[in-house]
Amino acid sequence: MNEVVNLFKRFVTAMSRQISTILAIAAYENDRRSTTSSVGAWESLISPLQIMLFFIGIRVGFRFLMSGGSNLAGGTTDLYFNIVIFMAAGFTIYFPFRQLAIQALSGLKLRSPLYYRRIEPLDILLALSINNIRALLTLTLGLMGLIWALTWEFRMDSPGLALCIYLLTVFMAIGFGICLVFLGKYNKFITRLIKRIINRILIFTSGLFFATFELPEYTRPFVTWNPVLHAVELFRYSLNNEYPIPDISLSYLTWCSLILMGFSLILYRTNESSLLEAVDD
Amino acid sequence: MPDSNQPSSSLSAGLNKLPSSFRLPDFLVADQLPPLWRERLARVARPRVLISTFLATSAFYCFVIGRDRYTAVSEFVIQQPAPLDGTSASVLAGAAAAPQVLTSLVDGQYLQVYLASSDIKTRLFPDGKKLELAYRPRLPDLWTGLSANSSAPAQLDFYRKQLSVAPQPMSGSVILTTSGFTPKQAFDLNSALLKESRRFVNEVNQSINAEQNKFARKEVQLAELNLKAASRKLELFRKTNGNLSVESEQAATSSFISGLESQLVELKVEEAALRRQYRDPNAPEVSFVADQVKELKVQIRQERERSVSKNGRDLNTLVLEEAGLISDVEFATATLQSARLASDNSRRDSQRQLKYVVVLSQAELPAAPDPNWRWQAFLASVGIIVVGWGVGGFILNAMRKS
Repeated sequence: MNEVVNLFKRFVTAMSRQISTILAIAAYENDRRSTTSSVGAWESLISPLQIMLFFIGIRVGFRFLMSGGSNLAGGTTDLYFNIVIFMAAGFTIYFPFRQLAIQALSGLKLRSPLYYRRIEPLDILLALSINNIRALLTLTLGLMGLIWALTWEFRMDSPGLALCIYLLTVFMAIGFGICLVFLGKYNKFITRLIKRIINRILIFTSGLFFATFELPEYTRPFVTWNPVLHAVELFRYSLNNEYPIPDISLSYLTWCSLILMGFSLILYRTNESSLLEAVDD
Repeated sequence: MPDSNQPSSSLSAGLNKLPSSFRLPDFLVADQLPPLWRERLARVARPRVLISTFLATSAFYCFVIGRDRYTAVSEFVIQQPAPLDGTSASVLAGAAAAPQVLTSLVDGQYLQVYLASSDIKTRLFPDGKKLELAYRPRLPDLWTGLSANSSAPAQLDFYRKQLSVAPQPMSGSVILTTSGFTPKQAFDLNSALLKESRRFVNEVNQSINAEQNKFARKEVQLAELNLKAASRKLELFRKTNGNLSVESEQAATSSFISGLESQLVELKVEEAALRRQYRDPNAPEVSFVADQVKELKVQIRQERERSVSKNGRDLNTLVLEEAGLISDVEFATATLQSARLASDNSRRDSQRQLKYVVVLSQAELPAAPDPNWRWQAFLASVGIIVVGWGVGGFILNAMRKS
C-alpha cells in the first residue's frame, strides 16, 4: 500500500514539476515574443484578430455579392448563429491547430543560447500551444462577450461537450505538431509544401466559412475527411444544439485525436534523441 | 565548472512569477487581520486549494445532491397530402418533396415559438400554484425547481427550460424534447405538447380554410343578388316601355323607314319618267304620282320624327338604356359564374391543403434518469477553470508586460 502511495506521490511531484517547467517556458516564450512587437504581449491577440476579421469580411462580402447586394448576413447559418459567433467558433478551433502546426514545422527551439536539461522538445511544443490557446481563448471570449452584450442572446447549450471538443482538438493539434516536427526535419521542401497545404487546404475544408449542412450531400465527402471540420462543427453544435450537423461524428474526432496523439507520442519516444540533436545544434 | 543544470534566469523568474497571478488582493491580507487568521486565510487562499474546492463542490452537487432529470423525446413532421395528379410518383418526386420540407420547417419554426409561449403554458398549467407544487424544490437539492410564490415571468421561464423544440432543416421534422423531475412529468408534458402541436396545426389550417370558404360563399351570394337586381331592372324597363326589345323594335322601324324610302325612290323615278312622257306637268297621271311622292316624304319624315323625338318613342335613348341594362345583366352573370368557380376551387383546395402532424417517434415513459446534465454541468465547471486560467493568465501577463 505504501508503495502505491509513494508511486502516486512521485507521479504527482513529477507531473507538477513538468507542468511548472512548461508554464515557465510558456512565460519565457511570451516574454520573448512581447519584446519583438510594438504592442507587446497583445501582439498574440491582435494578429489572429486581424485574420479573423478578414475572414468574417470575406464571408459577409461573398454573401453580399451572391445575394445581389441585398443581404449582409451570413446566409442559412443566421438561423442559428450571429455571423461573428459562427466564425469565431470556427476560428477558436482551427487557429490553434494551424499555429501549432506551423510553429512545429519551423522547429522546436527556444531561440535562446541557454540550455536546460529538463526542457525537451515536447515541453516547448506544449508551451507554445498553451500560449496560443490562451490568446485564442481570450479573443473568442471577448468577441462572444461583445456579441452577447450587443444582441443579448446568451447561449451555450452543451458546455461539457464544448470542453471535450476543445481538449480533443488540442490533443490532435499537439499530435499533428509532433508528427510535423519529424517530417519537417527531413526536407525543407516538404516543410514548405506542408505549410502551403496547411494554409490552403485545411482552411477551406475545416468549415471556417461554411456549415456542413449548407453543402449539397454529394460534396460533403470532399470535406468530411478533415477531423478539424468535425471539431469546428461539433463546437458550434455545443453552442446551439439546434444547429444541424449531418455527417459529423464525435467518435471520428475522438479516434482521430487519440490515434494521432498516440502515434505521435510513440514516434517522439522512439526518436527523441534525433530530435534533440536537431534542436540543440 | 558552470552548473549546466541551472535554469536560465528568465525561466527561474517565470517559475517564481507564476503563482503571483493568483495571489489575493492586498486588502484581504491587510495588517488589520490577526496573525492567526492571516495565516489561515493564506493557507486557504492558495489557487490550488480554491480550484480543488470549486471542482469538489461542483462534483458533489452534480453527482450527489443534484436531482434526477428525466427526458422524453418525440419526433414529428407536419405534412400536407400529396396532390392527386400523381406527380409524386414521377422521377421528380425528390424535387417536389423539397417544398414539403420547407413548409414543414417553417411550420416547425412557428411551433417552436408557439409551444414556448405564455398562452400554451397557461393552457397546460392554468393554476400557477399547481405548477409550483409539481416542480417544487426538494431536499437535498434546494436550488433546482420552482420556488413557492414565484412570479409569472419566473414560471414562464421555468416552463421554457423544460422543453426544447428543434426543427430539422434537413428533413423538416421537429424534435420535441421535454424534461421533468419524474418520468411521468417528462412524458406527460411531451404528450400534452404534441397534442397542442396537433391542435395548432389543425386549428390554424382549418380556420384559414373556413375563412376562405366563407368568403367565397359570400361572394357567390352577392353575385346572385346582383344578377337578380340587374335582371329585375331590365324586366321592369321592358315592361314600362311596352316592348320586349327596344333594339329589335328600332331595327323594325329602321327597316320600315328604309322600305318607305325605297318606295319613294321608285315613285320618284316613275314621276320623272311621266314628266318626260307628258308635255303638261300638271297632267293627272303626273300629278297622281307627284302627290304620292309628296305624301310618302311626309310619311317618312313623320316616322323618323316619331321614332327619335322625345315626344315620340325616343328609340335611340331607349336602346342605349336597354344596352346598359343588358350589359349589367351579362356582367352579373359572368361574376356569378366566376364566384361559383372560385368557391368550388376554394372548397377543393381547403381539402387538399389540410396539414397533418405525423408522429415519427412517439415519446416513451423514461425508464432511467438522464445523466447528461450532470456531466454537462460538471464539465462546465472544469471549462470555467480552463477558460479562467487561459484568459485570466493571458490578460494578467499582458497587462504586466505593458
